[in-house]
Amino acid sequence: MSNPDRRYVAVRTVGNIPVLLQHIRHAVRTCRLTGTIPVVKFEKKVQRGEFYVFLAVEGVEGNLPQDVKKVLGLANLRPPYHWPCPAEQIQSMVMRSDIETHGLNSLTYRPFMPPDVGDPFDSSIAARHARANPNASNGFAQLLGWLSLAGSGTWDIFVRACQTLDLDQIIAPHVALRHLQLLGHIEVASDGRRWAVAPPAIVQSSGDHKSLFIAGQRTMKKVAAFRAARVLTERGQPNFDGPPHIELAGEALDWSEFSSAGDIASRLAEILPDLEQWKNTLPAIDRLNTSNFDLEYWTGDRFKPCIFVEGKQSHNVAGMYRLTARSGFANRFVTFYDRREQKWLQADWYALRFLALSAENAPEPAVYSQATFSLLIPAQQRWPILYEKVLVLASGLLPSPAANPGWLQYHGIPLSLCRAVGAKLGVPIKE
Amino acid sequence: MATYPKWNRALAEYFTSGLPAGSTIYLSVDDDVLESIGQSLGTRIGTSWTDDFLEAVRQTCVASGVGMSLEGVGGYSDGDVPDCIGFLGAMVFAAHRMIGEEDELIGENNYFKRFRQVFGLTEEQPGRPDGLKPAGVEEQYWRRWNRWLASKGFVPSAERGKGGPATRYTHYPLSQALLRQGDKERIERLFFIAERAGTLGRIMDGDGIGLWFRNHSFNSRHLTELASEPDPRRFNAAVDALLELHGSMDWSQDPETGRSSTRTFAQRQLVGSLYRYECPITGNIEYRLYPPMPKRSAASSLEIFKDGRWYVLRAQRPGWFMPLWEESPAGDCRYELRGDDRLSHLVVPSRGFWTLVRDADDPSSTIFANWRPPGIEETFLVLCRAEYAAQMQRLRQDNLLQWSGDPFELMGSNHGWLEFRECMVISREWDDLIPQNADLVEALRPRIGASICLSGGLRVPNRWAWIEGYGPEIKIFAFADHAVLKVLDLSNSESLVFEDEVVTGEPLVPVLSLPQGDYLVEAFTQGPLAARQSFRIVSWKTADATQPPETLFYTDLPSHRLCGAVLSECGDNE
Repeated sequence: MSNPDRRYVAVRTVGNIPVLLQHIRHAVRTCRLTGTIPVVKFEKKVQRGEFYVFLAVEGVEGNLPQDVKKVLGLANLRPPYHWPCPAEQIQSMVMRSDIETHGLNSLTYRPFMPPDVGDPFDSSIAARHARANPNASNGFAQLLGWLSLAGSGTWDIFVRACQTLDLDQIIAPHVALRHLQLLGHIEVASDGRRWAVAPPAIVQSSGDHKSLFIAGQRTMKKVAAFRAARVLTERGQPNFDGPPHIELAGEALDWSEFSSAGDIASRLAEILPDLEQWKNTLPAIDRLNTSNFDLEYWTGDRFKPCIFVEGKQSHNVAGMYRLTARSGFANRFVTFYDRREQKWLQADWYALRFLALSAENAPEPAVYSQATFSLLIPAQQRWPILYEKVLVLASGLLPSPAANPGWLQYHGIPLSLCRAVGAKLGVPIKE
Repeated sequence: MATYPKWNRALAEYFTSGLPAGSTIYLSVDDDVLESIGQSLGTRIGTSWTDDFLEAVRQTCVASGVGMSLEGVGGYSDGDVPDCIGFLGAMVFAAHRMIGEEDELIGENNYFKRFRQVFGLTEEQPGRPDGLKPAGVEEQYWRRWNRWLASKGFVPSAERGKGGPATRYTHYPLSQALLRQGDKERIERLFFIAERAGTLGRIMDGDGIGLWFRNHSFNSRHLTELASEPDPRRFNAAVDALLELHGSMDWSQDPETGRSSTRTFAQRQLVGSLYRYECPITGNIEYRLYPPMPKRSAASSLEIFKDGRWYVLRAQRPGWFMPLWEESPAGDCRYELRGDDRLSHLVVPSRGFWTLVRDADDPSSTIFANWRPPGIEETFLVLCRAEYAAQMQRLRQDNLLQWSGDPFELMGSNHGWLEFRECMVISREWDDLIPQNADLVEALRPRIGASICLSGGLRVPNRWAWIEGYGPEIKIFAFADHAVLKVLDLSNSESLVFEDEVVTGEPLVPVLSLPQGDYLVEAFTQGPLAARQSFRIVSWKTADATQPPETLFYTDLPSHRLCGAVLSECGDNE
């Protein structure tokens, strides 16, 4: 359907079409006439070096306007100008030859480049970019406030929120995600691509003091109200790697929206499955064709390229693998190969690494300190998140680097709890 | 009889339920709408729900039958719902009653003649009734309605007319009346004839109805203008109304001979869509049936029937249920629904192609669906039958469309379908094109002059709201190099907080410092309004969360499940 308000000015000229198009485009933009001259057409079949150029002119009646003539002049298109030519006349002027059309207000084609937000589970990269920073506490408080308002979202959105709050300058987003999970503030889907804030809850610590702290959804407005009513005490997490720890210190006006979680750590320690049972609950990757990927095997401290023979169980080794797609959409992911079941299992990075370690050797013992009421675990043997969460929810405090390098210290945990969880994972607890 | 507050609340719910944030809202109140709303309001007075509504409005807005008294509609109920919606709805109802009268002929006198009839004003005088003078006193109520919509994440459409004083304020109700009573009757008859002639199916979606509407010649000037409406928001709203009318057709009898004096309420069909997921690990591509929520009806527990079983439709996001089973892109399927008397079936019409956009909240994912038409400079996916490939190539040769790589051939049950990935419309010069596949060309042809993109900052997903101090970056995408950008503060009498010519495609930074409030962004390219978008700035101190959270994830344990710090036994009702 042709535009009834559009007429063409036709000019016969010589030259190189791409160069001429560039000149015309520049002239139209210089004169700011992209609205009046939206399109240019060229006669493709050049005869004796000459061809027709047609400039569409919209919304003009009568004589050819001066500013259009100015464009023609700037583009070195000399008179005579054939004006006005309706669209039908163009066909008769160029006989049967084709016409090449270019919009003068065309857009530059830009395919979407997905932002590189990384793998929510990949902890093989540096977790912390700077030293412990008290400002991170405020950033985490705002992040949790925003998560509480948003309710749920994608990994992509989570990363962008960390970037907006400048938290990514202090801590890697996948570590922030894990810390919020450990503290019971959010839950994450099994593939790590979505998160949802958890319902607000009052949790009883597992230590002697039986103090109460809050977990789950907490808006800045709600915290401000409790702060004003002087019903809470706040302190930063060890290393400031999470939102402030909030303990209840009085009767609030309204706790009705909070669930009572009780001593959740002790309860979980009772009902958690052992490592083998838990492994059987992990989601497996369906129809994975390893020939589409380059594979690397985790040797305990790094990944090394390896060969995986599809369908030959005896050739392949159980353990943690990193797969990088040779082409297509998929990029890179880490998975555990269960040789006996011939399944590729998905879980958080530390869980996969723990499975890989356990498949080769018995885990190293963890060390309990009665003096500090804390548990020390080798950082290279960090527990799967479900089990580590029990240690964190016992006090509501995240682990901190221990004085002994390479160890993590979990605070405010009774020995009996450590033994109960350690037994599920096959980790001896030394005093 | 339902009271005025009850009607007011019901209208607010009706016009905003089941719609995703960012939808443009028209307060298009007519007999069918009142009949549909009335079903849930108990016992009526009079012979129709229209009588019931008008009686409620008259009792609240009319003083002794001679003039208007709007004191009763100046407040708010249920927190923030303006009490004026019923009054405004009746104003639009009067506009719907103007059968055969054309907009430019509707001066104040003509409009207020209908208005007096609707409000039951007995005095036969021309022009505005007492209580509604001077001209424009009602504008504050329209602004209140606009602001309330913006605060809920919707885009308002009611606006002042550009003409003289006689039509400046009557334009508000007239802009909301899409299909008038006479138009509906004409179109029902045309649908019936077209279906009998085989040029219109019984199962249609918005694309199909839109194409039919654009290509049909109407005797009515109002319909002719609506069919060539340059404003895509208004055109799409008209197509939605047509789709609703089409979905409620009784194909067994000619509407000309079978029409009763009052229209009986008919069941509607829900038109399903596709949801594309590509496994990022295996690369397997799935197309699943994607049911939209019924527009304009409060959430109900709907179930769908397949292979001898009923499945509950669960909410995924505003406006959409969770995707269901794998479905062929060819469509042409129909599933029974239950749970809402107003809905009978979920249908997917026969399709030759789909245009699908990526999830704005998860752009890195491989998920695509037709949540919205692609914006300018937005890339999208065209899924089409192989026979459309030549048309796609022609569009590329003509420098109208571009895509990445070679078309991807689907395998298995979707063999014969191609994916053209990362498509982008690069020119708006589609007028001279002679299409081989008019349906595809019409679907891809750019109809908008500009897109407004609000990005960055700290956004509250699914609500067009940003946290104060972390507001959005505003960009205008357009085919033109420059656009005029306006930002209006709806919280402050629609005052202008920004107006300037901006370079398209470049971010506008100053609005990052906007304080808490409701805002409307408008983009003008070469004169007319090309795009409009509302958004809200909320403060940390005042923003409240949904309680309890709408979406929950769990960690499954033997016989228990864990959500944050809360443990529940499997089977517990949360």
